[in-house]
Amino acid sequence: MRFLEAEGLSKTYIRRCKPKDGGISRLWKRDTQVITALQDASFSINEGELVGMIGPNGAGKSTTVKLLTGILTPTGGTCHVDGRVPWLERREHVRHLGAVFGQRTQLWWDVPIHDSFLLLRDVYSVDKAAWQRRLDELVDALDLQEFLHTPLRQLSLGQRMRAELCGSLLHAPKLLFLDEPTIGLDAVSKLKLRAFLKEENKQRGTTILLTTHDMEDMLALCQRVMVLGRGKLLYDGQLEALLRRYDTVHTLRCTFEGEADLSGLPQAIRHERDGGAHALTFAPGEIPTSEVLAHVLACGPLREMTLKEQNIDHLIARMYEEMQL
Amino acid sequence: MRYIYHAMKLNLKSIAQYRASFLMQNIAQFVMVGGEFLAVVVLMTRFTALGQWRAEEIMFFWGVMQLTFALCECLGRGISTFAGYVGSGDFDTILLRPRPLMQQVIGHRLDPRRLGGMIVGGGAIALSCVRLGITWTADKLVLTLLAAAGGFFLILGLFLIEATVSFFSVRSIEMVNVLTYGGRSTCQYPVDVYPRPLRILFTWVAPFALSMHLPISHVLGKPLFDVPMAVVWLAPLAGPLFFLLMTRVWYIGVKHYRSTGT
Amino acid sequence: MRNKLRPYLTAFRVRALLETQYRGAALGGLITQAFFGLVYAYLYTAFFNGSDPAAQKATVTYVWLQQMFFRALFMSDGEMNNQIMTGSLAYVLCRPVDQHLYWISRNLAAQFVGVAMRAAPMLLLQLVVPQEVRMALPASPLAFAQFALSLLLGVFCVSQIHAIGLAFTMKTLDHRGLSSMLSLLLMTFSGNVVPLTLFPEGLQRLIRYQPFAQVLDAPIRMYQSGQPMDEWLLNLAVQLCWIAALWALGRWLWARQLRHVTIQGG
Repeated sequence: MRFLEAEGLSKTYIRRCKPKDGGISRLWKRDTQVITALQDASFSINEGELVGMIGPNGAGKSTTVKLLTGILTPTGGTCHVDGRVPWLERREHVRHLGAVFGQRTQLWWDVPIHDSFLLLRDVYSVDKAAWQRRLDELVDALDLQEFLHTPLRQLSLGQRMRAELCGSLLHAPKLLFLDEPTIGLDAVSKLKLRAFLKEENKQRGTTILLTTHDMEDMLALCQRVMVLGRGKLLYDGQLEALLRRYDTVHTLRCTFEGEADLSGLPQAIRHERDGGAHALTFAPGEIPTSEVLAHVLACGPLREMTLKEQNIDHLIARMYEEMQL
Repeated sequence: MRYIYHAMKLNLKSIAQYRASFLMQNIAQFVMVGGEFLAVVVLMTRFTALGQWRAEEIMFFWGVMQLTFALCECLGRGISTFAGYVGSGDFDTILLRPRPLMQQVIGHRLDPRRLGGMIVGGGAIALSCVRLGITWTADKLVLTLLAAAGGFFLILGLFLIEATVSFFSVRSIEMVNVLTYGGRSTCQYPVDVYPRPLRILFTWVAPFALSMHLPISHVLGKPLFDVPMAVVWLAPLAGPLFFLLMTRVWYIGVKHYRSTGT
Repeated sequence: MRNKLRPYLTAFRVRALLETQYRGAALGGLITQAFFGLVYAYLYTAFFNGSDPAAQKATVTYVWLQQMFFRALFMSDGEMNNQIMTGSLAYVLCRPVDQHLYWISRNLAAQFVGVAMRAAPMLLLQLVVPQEVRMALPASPLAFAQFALSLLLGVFCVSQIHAIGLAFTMKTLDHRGLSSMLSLLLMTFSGNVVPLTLFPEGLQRLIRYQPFAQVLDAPIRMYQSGQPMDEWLLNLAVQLCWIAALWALGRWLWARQLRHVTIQGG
């Protein structure tokens, strides 16, 4: 059996709402509406993997994470993490689990973070010496030394996120869930955080499942990605392959010395004027880049030129569009 | 146990961050409950007696109720504000930790601002004892403590009703508080001054009469119900039993927890 | 003139409509108030124990009217408190209106609709309540008219008190201590905890003319007795004076606070 295995995992809610029409009976009558948050998701994750999960808002990412952490009980299907069913053996399960929810805190707001960490030691019944060793390690790796004795509320967002990470890793969990860990962070903090996560995954073999809207996070961290949409698992595989499938269009922008005649370009290259510049779009699968360059050089004396792949956010947007999300 | 102790310590540390506000709120509590005490005094001066009870005896009932209720609000703050955690998603954090849930809910928050209320309640009891000239014997003392303990668990159990309802509905849950705060206001006077329907409600549904009034009436030497002494000693158990029952129901609610999406 | 008043009238209308949406809260309040009304009515019946039937009935009526119009004492504008605490008060301040008047219009709308929504069913409840704890009819049609006008002024009065409370919240930013303190004063000195009529004779004069008594105690007294013209005019004058004084104080405090309001989280 693999480290994490989910079989046909589903979660539906029943929502009651006022009927749209109907006279006085609106006061007490309620229509029921079944909402599918997650439908028949099956996947597995190996120990030591670092998996990313993407999807538009309301796609079922949070529901999936909450099912895997045991916060929610599914309405169908099952899953095993390290041989345990999360919602049935909650306490044993969460003992080996860390979680950071980007917009929520698990530490105490008004006390120094070190005090919160001490409480977490009791919560997870960690051995004192092991805990101290781990704390030193994390404080060092996450640069927490300076504000270890500052109340959480006085920390900046980036510092807070590092403190949260430290808190969720103190008991050396085998599995770490991260829900939008870089949301709202500045560039430096983001880079540091990514580096840390990579290291944690490589050095300690911690399995990490990460949800994010930040595609740069994905590129930097994950080789494997799961795409969710409208409660369904739409793609599960290499990030590389996914990108290649949708990254079909390159753009070449160029300017010429003086006027140039571009009317002779082949059909495969789309030509648009963009002020003084020319924007040429083409699919590398259809026409090799070298051939495009040869055509361009033949058009006249080139002054400047840039070649751009498609922006990853556009790419994902196109993917969502194609998957009709 | 070490966890609870530690959690409480952190709670106190948090509160210590806002010393001025804490002091203000304590004084507010003191004045508030003190005001209610004066209200009772006004009433007892106007009427001198309530049914078979003299002013000092009423004061004793009142004091035990206030003290117990303030204690519940102080130590049971995690339960009484639980509906809020369900709304905000704080309950997620609790579910993510390897500890019994009820232990964590109780440890989650503490409200020492209720000290002011406890002082007034305790003061009322002391004043009443002096004026009544009660000779304290071991059994009277134990009965009083049993009444307070029984009431303590009963009120926690009542807080749990709202906590449980919050799993199923986010709206209009304040009406389930009628038994909690209504019970406190009603049952600060002994149950025999009310008509039958209210007596039944507060004896068998929310058993304030069994867990608090019956033992206290024996301490004051005016037994409420005509029951054998053994029953009097056992009656306060109604409180903890109520609490246990509500805890079971609450755990059923946990299964229906939906969490809020991010 | 009409044009100038328009934002305030619109604010009133919008807030009134919004309040009608809070039916769940109204139902919750109704159940709570009905329960407390019943318990207090029985409690005072037990206190009087038949010793003074007229005073007993008057007290029961007093208690019911207090519970019926309890919403008028409700003093927490959660929205505004939140705005002050989180700093989104800045948005509010961007509106080109007289802030104090604007808030008062909204608050009055909430109070009037909220009170009406709870009072109507409470009145119906009287039809099924046992005879011994049922409230009495007004002393006379005139008494009822006096009561209705006075109640209207009472709601105006509580809005002014509330506005003053908010001015202090703007200063301290934390409303909890102050809110509970003000609620306590209002509950106690408007006669909700213990009918003011049951206070010792010597205190009556003092207690009747303080501002909090103008909210519910003054109207209820009119309901129960129907006052002769001179006494009624005196009471009306007291109510009006308090409203004017509190209004002026509120405006002054708001102007002061808004000038150097601390915007949280700037």
